[in-house]
Amino acid sequence: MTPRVTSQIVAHQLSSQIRRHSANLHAYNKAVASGISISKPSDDISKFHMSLYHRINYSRLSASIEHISFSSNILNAIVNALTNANNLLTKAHLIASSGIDATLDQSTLASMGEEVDMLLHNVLDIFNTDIYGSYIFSGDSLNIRPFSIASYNTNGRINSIVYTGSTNNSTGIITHTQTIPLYLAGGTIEQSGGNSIFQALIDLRDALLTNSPQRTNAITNAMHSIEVARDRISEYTGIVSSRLSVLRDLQERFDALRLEHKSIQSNLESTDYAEAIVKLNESQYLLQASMAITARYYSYSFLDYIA
Amino acid sequence: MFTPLLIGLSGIRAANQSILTSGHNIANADVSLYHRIDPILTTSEYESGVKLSHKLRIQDDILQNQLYDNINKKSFNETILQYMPIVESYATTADILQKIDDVYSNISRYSIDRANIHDLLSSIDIAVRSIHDISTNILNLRNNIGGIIDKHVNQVNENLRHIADFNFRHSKSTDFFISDNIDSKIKDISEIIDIKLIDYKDGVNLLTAEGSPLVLGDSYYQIDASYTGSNIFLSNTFGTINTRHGKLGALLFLYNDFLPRLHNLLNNISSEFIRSFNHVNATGIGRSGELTTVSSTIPVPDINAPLASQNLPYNIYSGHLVVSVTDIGNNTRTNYTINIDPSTQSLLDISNFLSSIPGIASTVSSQSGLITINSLPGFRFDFAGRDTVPPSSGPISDSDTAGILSALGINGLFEGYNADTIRLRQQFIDNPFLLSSSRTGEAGNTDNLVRFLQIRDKSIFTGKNIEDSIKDLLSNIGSFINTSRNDYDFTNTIYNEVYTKLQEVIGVDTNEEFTKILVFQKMLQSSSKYISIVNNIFDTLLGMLD
Repeated sequence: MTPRVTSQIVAHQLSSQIRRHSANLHAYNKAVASGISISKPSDDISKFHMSLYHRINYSRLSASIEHISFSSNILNAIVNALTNANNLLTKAHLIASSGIDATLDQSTLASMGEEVDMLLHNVLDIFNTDIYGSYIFSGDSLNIRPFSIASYNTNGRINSIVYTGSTNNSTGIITHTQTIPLYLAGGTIEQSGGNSIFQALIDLRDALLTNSPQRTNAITNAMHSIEVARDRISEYTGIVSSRLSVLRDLQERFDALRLEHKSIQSNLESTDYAEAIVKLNESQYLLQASMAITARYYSYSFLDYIA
Repeated sequence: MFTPLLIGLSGIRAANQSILTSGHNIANADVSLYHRIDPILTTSEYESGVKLSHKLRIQDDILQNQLYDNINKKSFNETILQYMPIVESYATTADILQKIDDVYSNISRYSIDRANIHDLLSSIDIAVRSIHDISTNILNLRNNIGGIIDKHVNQVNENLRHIADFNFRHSKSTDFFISDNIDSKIKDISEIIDIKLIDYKDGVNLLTAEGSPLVLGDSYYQIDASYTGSNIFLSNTFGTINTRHGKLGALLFLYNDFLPRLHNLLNNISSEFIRSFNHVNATGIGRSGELTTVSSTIPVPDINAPLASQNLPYNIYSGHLVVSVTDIGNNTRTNYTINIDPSTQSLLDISNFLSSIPGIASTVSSQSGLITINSLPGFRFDFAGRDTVPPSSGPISDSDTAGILSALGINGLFEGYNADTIRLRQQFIDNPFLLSSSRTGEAGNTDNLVRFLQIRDKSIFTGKNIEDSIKDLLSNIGSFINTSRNDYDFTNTIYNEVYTKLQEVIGVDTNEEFTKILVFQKMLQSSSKYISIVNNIFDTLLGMLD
């Protein structure tokens, strides 16, 4: 049987083909122009979910890297503060060594005492350092100035300093499963096992300023206390530095992982240009062919052959 | 004597009528569902020439019914694909998964950088607004679909009335114009609902796919769209009409089934998110310190009835609530434990118990169904479950095992209980330090931030993974669109095939018609020539008389 070909069949088929090729052309145009082939679940559910997974992980790692960088700034500030405090204590120790010399006159010793008093103020300032509005040696009590002068002696000099910060270190969250101690509880650095940094400096200052027969003993005791304090500060510097090192390693690992996630996400989402352009051309030719056929079909008729 | 002339005349007449029929066919060649008419010629009695016996309207009922059926199915998928990509755009453009993840990133950042509190609050606000927007858009789409359903029902009724009217006025008519018009009406109806054509009375008789009469003879049975609960149902005098295909089938499916299901899924995700965040916030302490006043945000309809009977959006469990009261002057803190049994205790009972605690007072409004807890002068309170001052038995790991704070929205971060009602509470925007970041009250304590982060993997009370639920929601939308797309491709291919086959049978090939015209033209010319010859013969014969 020879089927009857009506103008409606031809028109229907041609318009259906043109619509299909136009839709394909539009889709490939969009993919080539935007560079993205998967943007919504219906494009490809499994690829969309994989891409979503990598995108979210990339974003999490980026956030974690930012947290590491911020945490590193804080830990660096702590290391710098501890190093500065250590330097000041070294200086105090040198002054103490000189102060033992029995040949020195009182005025020289008094000026050495003044210098130690200045060092005491500097160390106090260092232990009250803040970064981004939070005190680095307050532990959990970030907004409380950790060390304050409790009393003055009769000469108006510092007599005692108290710690008002928290006894717990403040923890920074790097990822939702990884935390790191950040702001240190300064009380445990300043004072441990009966040894206080501030008290050692106060004792040294007072020993140098006061003309007393026990001066040498007092200076020697203060020197010992300063040495113990320096050891403690060095120990904490080491601990914080090792945390910095852990963060650096973590950052390197996260950087590598982030790159991997980005690369996979990009492979999943991005247009395969070679394929897309080939298909784009194919759709274009098919559309042109459909249009040409349509024009040709309607350009001749049986009417042309009858009078 | 005149018979030869009459024979010639019959040829001219039959040819002329046939040419007119072909002309009618050519003129209607592009009219949808036009049935070609073939002139059937037959020889006259007693060898008296030719006559047009009748006109045959070409039809194929099987193919035509197949066409209606495929129009019906194709129309269902077309309608689904018209609206579902919009829903998909709402869900993907809002990108709630990323926005919720931004909230968690900002929580981590806040543990390191206390200046980040505004970014954190802002990211929470953005996330909840996105959730709310998706919900609003889904509901708006559903409402618009509800309006369209009414229009389509009216359209079907109008067509049913036309068909019944045709059946009444023209059941005996042989005018093909009537048949073509009815076909067009049936096609229009089949685009909207499932129908079945049956032989019953003269004319066209229609039933629904399930056999409920729509048109029987000159009677038609109007369809009504009515609301039952929040769903729309179709019915006529014979009962409920379940249409599964056509535009109405698609719109009813979206309205009654898919969109509510999607909306429920979104509401469940939001509900888990709200409750978990509210619970963690309620049982922690912000940088602004202990509380002086808190009010619930979820009303209890009857403050005297047991809480379990109040159909609250969140369950309250049998458990305890620990209230810590701080005496600022004496620098002491005392913990009070309230045992909660929702099957027996009312909101008023809880309030009375709270009022009996030294240092705080609680009131309940029977009008609003909300509870307010205030501290008395010199006192403050919290629900963090810290150890007492001076210390005693240590901190309490879960100070609200009953979940009453989050169930009533006390000291929560959010208002509302689902995607429609979710909102960041204004007081947190005004004072971000109300966000409970710690469990100890120390500014640098991050224990509560860690608890917020734990929600990412497991919601509190139900243990669901919110991230997975959002992925499920997106998969639901994506797979439904893909299924509809595949179904559409399938039904469209079948439809094209059936359409082509039907056109091959009933359609007009203009070339064929022109050929016929040429044949009939030749027939007319021959008959004219024949008459002319006969006339000459008559003239010759009459001339012989002179």
